[in-house]
Amino acid sequence: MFFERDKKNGIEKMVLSSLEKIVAEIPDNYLVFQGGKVFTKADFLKALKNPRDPLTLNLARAFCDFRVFQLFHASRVPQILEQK
Amino acid sequence: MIGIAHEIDDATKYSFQWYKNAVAKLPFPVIEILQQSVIKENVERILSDSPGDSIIFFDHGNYTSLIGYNKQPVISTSRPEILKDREVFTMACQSARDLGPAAMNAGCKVYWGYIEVVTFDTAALPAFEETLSSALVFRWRDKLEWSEVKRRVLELYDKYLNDEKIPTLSKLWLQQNRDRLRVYPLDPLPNNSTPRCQVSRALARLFGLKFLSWLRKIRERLFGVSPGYP
Repeated sequence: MFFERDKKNGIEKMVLSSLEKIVAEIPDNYLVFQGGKVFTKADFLKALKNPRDPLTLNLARAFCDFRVFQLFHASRVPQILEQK
Repeated sequence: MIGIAHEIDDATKYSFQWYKNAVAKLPFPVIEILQQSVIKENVERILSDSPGDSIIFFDHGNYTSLIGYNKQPVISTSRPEILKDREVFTMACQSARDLGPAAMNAGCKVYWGYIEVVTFDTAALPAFEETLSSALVFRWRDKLEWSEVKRRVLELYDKYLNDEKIPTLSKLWLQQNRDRLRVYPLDPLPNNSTPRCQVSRALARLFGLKFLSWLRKIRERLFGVSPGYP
């Protein structure tokens, strides 16, 4: 399983750079409520500097859900084609 | 209909408002247990006075319990029979993993909940409010069958997942909530005969599941909230 491996090695660069793009597009005053915890945009930015940070792994696990992954990339296909 | 809701932290400031918005749309009066009144004694008393009444619960939970104002369980796997003959709706975290199945085994009619933590964010609040709370309006205002309620809620999730205005990060949480939703008996009950914790597994193997359940009740009485909260 993808994350069984990545708990040890951290997440792949490609996933990490996608996550950085996703987090960059949210507003600075962004808050996320997860269970009883609250995370800010700054928390995510800080966590993404460490591929083994639990918050990064949590984010990556959710991101690698196929449908979200597909949606993220599908929304950027026109931009990618334009660049080419 | 019994509505239970409280506001104990930043997350519940939002969910308490969602509860009020949803209940205001219902065409009949709701017996409400709110804020500081959400403690085990009150909840158990009112539930025993209203057998068979449906329950709406907002907000925190863990695998085995729905959590009250004092951060102690108000409804838990130690006494699932209080949910017998009821329809239960909650957007609390995790309760559909153990409490939901325990309630169904004790005769609960329907349990709507989530098997893991529920997440929402401030970038798409209307989407989260609608996907997390509209089921109770579909069920009790529009009088739809639970299968139709679930279909409509999944449709709502899909609508927002395809909405270009919703940030990808919010979609990620929406997708996760969608995947974690369980509606029993529409969804199959998880196989909980084998505990996940290694110590629990060993105890169950040595002394049986009844002994383990008894130990958990003792732990809950001594320490209140069981592991997994929030």
